[in-house]
Amino acid sequence: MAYTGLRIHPAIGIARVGNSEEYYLGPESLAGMPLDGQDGTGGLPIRPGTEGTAIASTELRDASGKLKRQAARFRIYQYAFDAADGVESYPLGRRGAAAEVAIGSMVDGKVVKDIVWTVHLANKKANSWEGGDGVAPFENQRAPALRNPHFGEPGSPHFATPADPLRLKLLVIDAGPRTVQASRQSVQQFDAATPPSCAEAASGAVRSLPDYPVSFPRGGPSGAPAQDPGAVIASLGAITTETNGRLLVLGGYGKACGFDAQGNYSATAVLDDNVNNDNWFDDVADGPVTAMLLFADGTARSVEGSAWVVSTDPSYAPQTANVVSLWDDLYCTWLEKMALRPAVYADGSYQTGYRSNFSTDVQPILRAASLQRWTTSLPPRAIKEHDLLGKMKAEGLTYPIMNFIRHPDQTGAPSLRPQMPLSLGDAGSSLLTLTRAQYFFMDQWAHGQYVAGSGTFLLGAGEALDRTVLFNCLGGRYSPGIEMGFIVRDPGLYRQAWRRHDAGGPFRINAQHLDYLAAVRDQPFLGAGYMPLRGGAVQPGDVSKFMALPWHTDYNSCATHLPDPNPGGTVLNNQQAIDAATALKGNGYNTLLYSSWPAQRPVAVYTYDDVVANGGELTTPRYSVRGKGTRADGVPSATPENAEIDRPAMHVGRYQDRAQFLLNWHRIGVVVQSTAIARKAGEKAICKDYYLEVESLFDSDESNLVEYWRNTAIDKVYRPKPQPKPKP
Amino acid sequence: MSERTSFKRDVQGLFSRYVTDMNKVKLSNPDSTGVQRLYLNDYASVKAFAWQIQVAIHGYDYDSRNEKWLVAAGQRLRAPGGREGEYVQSAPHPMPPDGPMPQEGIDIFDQWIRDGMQP
Repeated sequence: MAYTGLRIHPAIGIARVGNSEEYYLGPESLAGMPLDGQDGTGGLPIRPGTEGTAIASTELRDASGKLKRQAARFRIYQYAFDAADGVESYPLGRRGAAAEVAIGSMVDGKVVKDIVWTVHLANKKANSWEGGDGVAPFENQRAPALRNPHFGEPGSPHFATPADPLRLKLLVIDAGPRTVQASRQSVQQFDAATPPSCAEAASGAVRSLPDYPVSFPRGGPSGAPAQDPGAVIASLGAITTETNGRLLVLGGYGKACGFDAQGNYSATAVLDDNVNNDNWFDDVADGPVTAMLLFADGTARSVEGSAWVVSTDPSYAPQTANVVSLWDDLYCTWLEKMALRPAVYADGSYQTGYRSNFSTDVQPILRAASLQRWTTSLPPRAIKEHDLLGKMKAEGLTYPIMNFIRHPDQTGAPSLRPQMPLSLGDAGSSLLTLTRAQYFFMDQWAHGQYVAGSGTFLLGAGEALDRTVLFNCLGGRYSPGIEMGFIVRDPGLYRQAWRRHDAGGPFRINAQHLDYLAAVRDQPFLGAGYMPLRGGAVQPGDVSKFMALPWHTDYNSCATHLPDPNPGGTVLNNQQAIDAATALKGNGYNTLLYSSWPAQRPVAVYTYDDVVANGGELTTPRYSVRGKGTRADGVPSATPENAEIDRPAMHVGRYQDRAQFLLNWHRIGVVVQSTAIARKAGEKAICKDYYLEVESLFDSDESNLVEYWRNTAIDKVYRPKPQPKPKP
Repeated sequence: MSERTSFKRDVQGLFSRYVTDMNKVKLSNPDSTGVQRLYLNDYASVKAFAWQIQVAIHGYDYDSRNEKWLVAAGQRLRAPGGREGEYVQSAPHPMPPDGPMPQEGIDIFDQWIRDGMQP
């Protein structure tokens, strides 16, 4: 019997914080990838109110200079299947004849009168475990130490666990659910002043939930400016709709605030770690996105393919693709653990008969490699080689490229020849590797097993959104990452029974069914929730809770580091150890520094102003984070001589005082392709292949001179070149 | 600089990024027979090739195409045995190959030589 499947896409959407009330829409094209008939590449955010018009550089900030938030846009597609229990395969491509469902669309012969969306946002970071070490601490039924271990009720059977009632009450920001009816074009804030609401299961009617136990950080000093970055968090974002019924989810404002031992606001909480700071909240969040269709005949139907939204750090280089993206890790997991595409992976191994699709399996890796030059400083020779990769055609390979690519299982000792990717590895691994799937695709291509185009990997419109949104996010290095962490590789995160048409399709988070009508005033509604490797349903706040708290400190620190573990061992902070590591026949200890996440957290950038001042040619890059307080030379180090090496070169490109980043994150510029840069009168066009930083609010460079890799821990650190004087 | 420069404290970090590439290079050393490898992280090696290094890192001082000096007189490399105002104008291989070191680094190296190349 024919069955119409309803699915929300993207399956996982990404909103981003900003300090402005205004917003743009998240990109719906692949970062840095060619767009048919256009000079500009993909990845740019979208102008609100348009289908896909990319914004210009002048639209990254509002009129007062505040950084706009990024809205995650969701839409519903209907699929025409032969039967509800038919076997799903991936990708569906044109099968299923996916068509978007908007207000006025026909579904099973009925006119859609309205779409009712419900989103629930929460932040559980402060009631989570210490993060940064990946999945390993959760293996063998173990768990890492809790954040905020001093909070708990000693008499509770859940004492010292995330289920402790006092922890749930004080350490979870739960804005509760909000429902919007698309036809009303309203905005629902995820703040304490807006009553929670949900959609009734049978009718889709919006129901207020006055007893829902909304929970926000407690108390703030009276008279404190509410908009300060360190001011008490009062909102996790908002939802609204487009005229056609699509949903927009807005993230928070990039705030972080401290609290004291009683859970009350504190202006003096200390930021003493990059990833785990007790007594701190931030205002990112995540949660389920569900929808109901209301038909003109008075009936209603739930959309079975629910989605999830994650709000996270701003995107400071939206067109610079990561060599390993969040999509790559999710896709590899689904290939290997969820039987996504047996033609690629089956019976425990990748299928050697599979022919890589050059444009979808291989080219993104090559393009991403070539784009790294715009966010980290590479030597000229490497740039030349990377540029060749970025322009390579399917049949253009003339050398054994796999000799230069690090095998996914060899993450430790550096090879004699430089191996790619040349950046820091995942938790517990020194250097980054491609996913096993990416490596397989590259290897097949390198051995002539490929098709030149997309081959059989033809995505339907909704499927393309699933891929695109996560392609534009960080993968590979989850210590702990930016948008989502290592949990993307946990099959238990996802709805398992995806292979029936009525199950909502692949990549769906295993969302816990939440009975909002059972909510009781003053009694926390959300519990401990999902735990990696243990299965269990996922609650609002469970996806982002493994990320850094606050995100600011981790972003700040993640410029360049020594690998961890450092090949050869730890170099100590004394001249004798440095001599031994750098002697003629060295002791094998590594002193080279590598970038963390250069595509997602730009380290070194070419500024548009510098290029204009240099007649349109590239000049010395600058650190992306370069405000007052970022200078690394001359900062006294308190690190003892028997501790790990600590030299000025290891601190460049970041604030030396973590708290300073909280005050300045919104001043960082954004790297976009020159085709998106709004030129001032009289300025010449810049090479269309340049990706340059614009809209930085750092009016001087207070950091250090950027020098290209190889950077070492013992490098002399110099002052930067002066910034060009602004034109009158 | 108020105190005398030393290799460990002041010079080692100037060249640390170039060590791996340069130790593949063999140079003729007029003070010995034959050629030697250059180890930029080794005091004895840098001391032995100090003049060649100095010439190389000063290789961008003079713009021969436009016939003009790019650095102040006080920062140029005095020609060996030359009179006042006579400077080295060219290097067989200016180093680093992709552009000059920051002037501050060149100044430190020059000072180290003037200070007697302390370890």
